[in-house]
Amino acid sequence: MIPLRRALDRLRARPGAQAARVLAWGLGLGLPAMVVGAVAAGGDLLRARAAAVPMVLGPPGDHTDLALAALRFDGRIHGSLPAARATLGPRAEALPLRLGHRVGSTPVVGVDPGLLRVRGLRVADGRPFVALGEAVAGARAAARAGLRPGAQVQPAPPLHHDLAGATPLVLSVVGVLAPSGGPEDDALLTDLATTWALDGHLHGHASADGQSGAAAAAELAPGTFLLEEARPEDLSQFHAHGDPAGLPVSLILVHPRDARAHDQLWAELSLDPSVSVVRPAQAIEELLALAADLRDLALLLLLPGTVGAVALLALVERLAAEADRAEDAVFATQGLPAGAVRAIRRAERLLVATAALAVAAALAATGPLLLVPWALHR
Amino acid sequence: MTALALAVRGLHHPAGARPLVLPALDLAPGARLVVRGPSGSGKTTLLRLIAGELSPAAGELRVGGAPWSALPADARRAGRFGTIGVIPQELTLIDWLDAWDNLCLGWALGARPQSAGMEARAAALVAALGLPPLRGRAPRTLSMGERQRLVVARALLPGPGLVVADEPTSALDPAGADAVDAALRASGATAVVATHDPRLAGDDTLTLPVGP
Repeated sequence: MIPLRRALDRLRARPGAQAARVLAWGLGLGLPAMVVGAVAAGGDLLRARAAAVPMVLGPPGDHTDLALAALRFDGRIHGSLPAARATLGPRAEALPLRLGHRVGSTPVVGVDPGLLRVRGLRVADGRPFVALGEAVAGARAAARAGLRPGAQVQPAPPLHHDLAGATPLVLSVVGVLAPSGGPEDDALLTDLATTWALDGHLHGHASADGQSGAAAAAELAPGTFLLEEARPEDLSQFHAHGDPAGLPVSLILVHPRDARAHDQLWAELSLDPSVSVVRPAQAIEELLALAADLRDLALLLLLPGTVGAVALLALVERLAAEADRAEDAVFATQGLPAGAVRAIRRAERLLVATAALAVAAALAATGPLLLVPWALHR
Repeated sequence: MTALALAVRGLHHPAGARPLVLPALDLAPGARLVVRGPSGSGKTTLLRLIAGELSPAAGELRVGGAPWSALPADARRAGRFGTIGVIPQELTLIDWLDAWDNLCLGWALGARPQSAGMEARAAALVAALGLPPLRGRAPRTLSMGERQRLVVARALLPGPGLVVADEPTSALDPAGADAVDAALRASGATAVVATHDPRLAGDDTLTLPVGP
């Protein structure tokens, strides 16, 4: 007990220096472990999501971007497909998505109502969306923004500098989804028509006589107001100009009926120059192989820094040992057993090593928890 | 017949500019020898040889009749506690212990079990040397004079039969020097004191020669 008590006395007497030792060793060990762990955990999560989506159809472009858009609801996909492309016949269930809108950092995703069934999504609180302007919040998105059924949110305008662009429609949150582990957890899901309204392809307007308070604010023409909220009494006012089959979708999740249908569709769609088709599992494996190379490169680049840090730590330890020599002279002069002094120093090193390992373990454990959501939902 | 507290025969050891040579020295129990001489004359070397911190190049030192210098260095270190009290010139204290634990160093580190007797002796030394309350006090807050008196008390607390003191009053005012002088005498230990301080008188004086 005495060595441990005296070791604690030594730590307390030099808190700054000892904290620096603990942090230096802890960061030195923990940061590489955090990088490796985060890459592995992120890869596992992406693989699991990719396994749930057999095929993705999108506008011509980069296959990795298309796969990531499907797995992260990332709205930075360029171009769109006409909604009519979501008709693939009896060979597959096609689930179109409209991406690109956000409420703060939360993506607003227009989906086919069938998505909830195919993905096995369950409404934990409230009900599914059924009407224009209604949305359900993913579990994490709801927790993050404090959303509950009855809440109203307003998406950001798609183009901040387009003063003549679409006026954002207020969304009513009618339900909160149970956690699923998929990208829905961090999103607001609504129907395609609502996202088309957000795009400006679909809108409602009323005459001055019919407009009702805050629901209508933007005046299109003298006496005609654009509706900013889809109230039940105003739903009949909403309409699209042009052919609805030509309205845009960002991508289409394709769930073939069986392997044969999968192969047929893959062969047909791969030859169609007007679309991109990707198997997310395959694209993610290619991406993760690149990520593994980058991780290895990062670790290699960290190596000189790590060697330098270790050398610095060795210097610090040596200076600490030099400082201990004056104490050793006192202990020797007073005839105190060298073993007792060594036991105190060993206990001190054990405490520092334990604390450093705790720091390293905390970094290794929390790194993936912090970095993976950041990387997947930014 | 009572054994001599310290007996030196044929001591020869390198010390600075010229070797330390001491053909014979006998000290009876309770006697005090004051060692004088200029800097570099070997006073500190002689004290370290007596304390067993150094092994003589030639010759023999006996403490309490036992062949002290013939023991291995580790055995001399282990045997020093409670046998030979060392008051070094350096006033080094252990900064991660409070001043009281510095006084009771051997007990604080577990070399001896704590006891009421030790506590009483420590309290008596604190009072005799005019030290302030030491419990919970950081060593760095002590003045140089307090540090020196604490170092003296630390050496006397285990009740050694022989004390070697290297300039034990160098940082003290006359009152402090008198307190150290009195505490050394009150301990009843045989003392070898290297000093330039004329206030510290001995039963005998050894003057080491100047230079080569």
